[in-house]
Amino acid sequence: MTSDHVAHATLLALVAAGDEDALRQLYAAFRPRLRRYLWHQLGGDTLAVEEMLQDVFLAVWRTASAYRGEAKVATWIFQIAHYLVIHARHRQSRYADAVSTDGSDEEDTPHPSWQSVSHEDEVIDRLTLADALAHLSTKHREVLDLVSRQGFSLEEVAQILDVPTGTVKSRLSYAHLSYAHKALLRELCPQPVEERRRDA
Amino acid sequence: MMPEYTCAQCRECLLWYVTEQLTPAEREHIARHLATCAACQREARPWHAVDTTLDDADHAIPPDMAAASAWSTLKARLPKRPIIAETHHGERALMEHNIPNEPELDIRPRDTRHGPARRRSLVAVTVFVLLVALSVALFDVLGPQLRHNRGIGSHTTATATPAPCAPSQLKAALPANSYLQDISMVSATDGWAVGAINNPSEGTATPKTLIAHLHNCQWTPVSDAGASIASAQLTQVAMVSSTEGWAVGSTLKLFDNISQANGAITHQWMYDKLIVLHYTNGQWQQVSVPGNTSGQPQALHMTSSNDGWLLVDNGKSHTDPYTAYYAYTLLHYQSGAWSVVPMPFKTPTMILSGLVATSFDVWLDGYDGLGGIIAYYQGGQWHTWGGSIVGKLSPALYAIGMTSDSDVWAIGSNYSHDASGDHTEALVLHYEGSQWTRAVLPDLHAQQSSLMRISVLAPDDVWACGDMDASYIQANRPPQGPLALHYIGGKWQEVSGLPPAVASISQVVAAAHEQYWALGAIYVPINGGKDGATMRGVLLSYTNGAWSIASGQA
Repeated sequence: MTSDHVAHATLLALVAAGDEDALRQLYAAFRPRLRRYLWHQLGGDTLAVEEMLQDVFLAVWRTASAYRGEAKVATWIFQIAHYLVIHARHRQSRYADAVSTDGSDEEDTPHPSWQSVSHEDEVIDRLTLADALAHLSTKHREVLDLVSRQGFSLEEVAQILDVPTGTVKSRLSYAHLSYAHKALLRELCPQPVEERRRDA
Repeated sequence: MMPEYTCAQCRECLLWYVTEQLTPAEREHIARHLATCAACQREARPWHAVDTTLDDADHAIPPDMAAASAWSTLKARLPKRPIIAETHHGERALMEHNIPNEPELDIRPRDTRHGPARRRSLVAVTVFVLLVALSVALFDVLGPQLRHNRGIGSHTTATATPAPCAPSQLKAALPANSYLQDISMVSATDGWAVGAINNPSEGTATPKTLIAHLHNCQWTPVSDAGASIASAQLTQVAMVSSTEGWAVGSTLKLFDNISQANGAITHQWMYDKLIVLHYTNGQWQQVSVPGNTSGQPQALHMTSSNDGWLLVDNGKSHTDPYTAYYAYTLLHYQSGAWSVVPMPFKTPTMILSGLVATSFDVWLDGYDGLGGIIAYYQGGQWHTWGGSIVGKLSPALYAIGMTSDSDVWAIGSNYSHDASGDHTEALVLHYEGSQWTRAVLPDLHAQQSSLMRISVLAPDDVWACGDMDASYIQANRPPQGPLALHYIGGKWQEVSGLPPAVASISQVVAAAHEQYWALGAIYVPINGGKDGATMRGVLLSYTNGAWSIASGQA
């Protein structure tokens, strides 16, 4: 158990006892990470991110006594953030991708646009690696973010998203394939297609 | 011999390997496998791309400038929670009225969403309501203690609420020639004060550090390694809990001996090296810090056991005989280590005086040839005000305090000149989140006045102390009186009832409801005034509506 987790667990216990200063310390400790996470989950909407941060810590304040120590405090707080993001998306209906609402273990299917696009269409499209990120669904992007940016393990990500570890692996695998595909296109087609056709 | 990883094992870990989240042993496993497996190397390349693009995406996030104000907003929205407190009989009582609201969405993590937990929570709420109904009277008694023991910009960080000492119990068993410079209260019955034995300003005996502890209603000196450092004094103390705190000061270097008319030798001391003491495990121990440690500490503020700030005055030097250059070092304590934070100030003639901090930012104030200086450091960036700050003032600022970044006080004096000469007038500025304004002060009836120290105990409980007619020492006459102002009920008023001998008041801290400790000084003529005068430090106590000198230092 890391010293950070022990310190956070101590603070959370104080929050459960009504200690506002302990909440302030938790807020200071987690705000940078949560802000980064929420920024990407909420499409870079500053106002929405700030509102969501407030909602997350209001929820921490209200439910601190419910924390039983079965997960790290960081995992617990990110669970709250994840649920609130899903709730916000349902309320606003601003995302095109289907979002699991009941935490059920649905199988992830490949992104339909990736499957239906022909090789020639992809070449014409001139996608970059950055575009590969933009073309990932929110749930695939979220898994990447939680692992590579927030430092959670496979099991912790599964706890946060309330899905089996197999589903997390599946989403990571899809993201990996997506990047591998785009990277291969870059290697095969270093020039814009229009320029190659003029040269031919 | 380490067992080799299979391709399946390797590929499962690649993302964590690329983002450097594996243990050293795991990394070595993966590295050994990748060194000989071209297929897994190809698998790793997309993860490197993922890491790069996610990194780029993070860099597109604008800096976080709203942390402190967002916390203030959040704090104001927090629904009331039961506060469990110990009464002096050891009973536990709930002291708040409101029942926490249940969230609209069941956002409790999976490990808590069980039927029995819901039933237990309902029972808990019922019991809570009954306890609240029985404990309203207790809150009326103990609530003000909680208010007085919190506040940013002061040194109080109390969490427990023991019964305060009765006035007849308070004692100060300090050595002769004790000279206290700062005080920090953990609770009504637990506090620390620092200074020196033998006032360096008096110069007749070699000073050494003094640390005093309030325990069982009595101030007594401690004899840790950090105390009794010869040729040194301590000037600030900040406790974060009853078991941890920091004290700072400096060693002193003798640079001159002056013979007095009466044959006595007066030593002249100058600040030499910074001393930083850390109180843990019941002991004050000296620790080293980075950066330029020449000079003396200017200000210390700890926001928690993992966060604090220290401003060091590295002294004055001259680039030429006519130009003084003042240097400062700002140190930040985070997660067990001190580090240097560069400051943005360009003018070498500035003087920085005050510092106060929260978990999100640090504020400084001071002055230079152009006027006042106020700056805060937040999210890795500095923001500054300079010059007149407000209207057409010529401020010199000496201290700063706050409860949040929308409730900041900066104090000092305003300089003006007219046909009758130079004037300095006590000055208080307030920042409510968007602009600075000048506070209205009572008429002090003083030719000169200046505020030097501030204690912000709560938004409506602020103390500012300083001097009136500061030239009385040089003019070899008694001072006009101490300058102590109290902000309460939305306005500033003079503190009345100070003992007549007290010439100045500095630090004020709350011990309990309507009980304060303060450090001050009394005017002491030397040889009936023939050899001038000096100021002797005193410890003051305010109880039962009256001030008294608790420790009449020799």
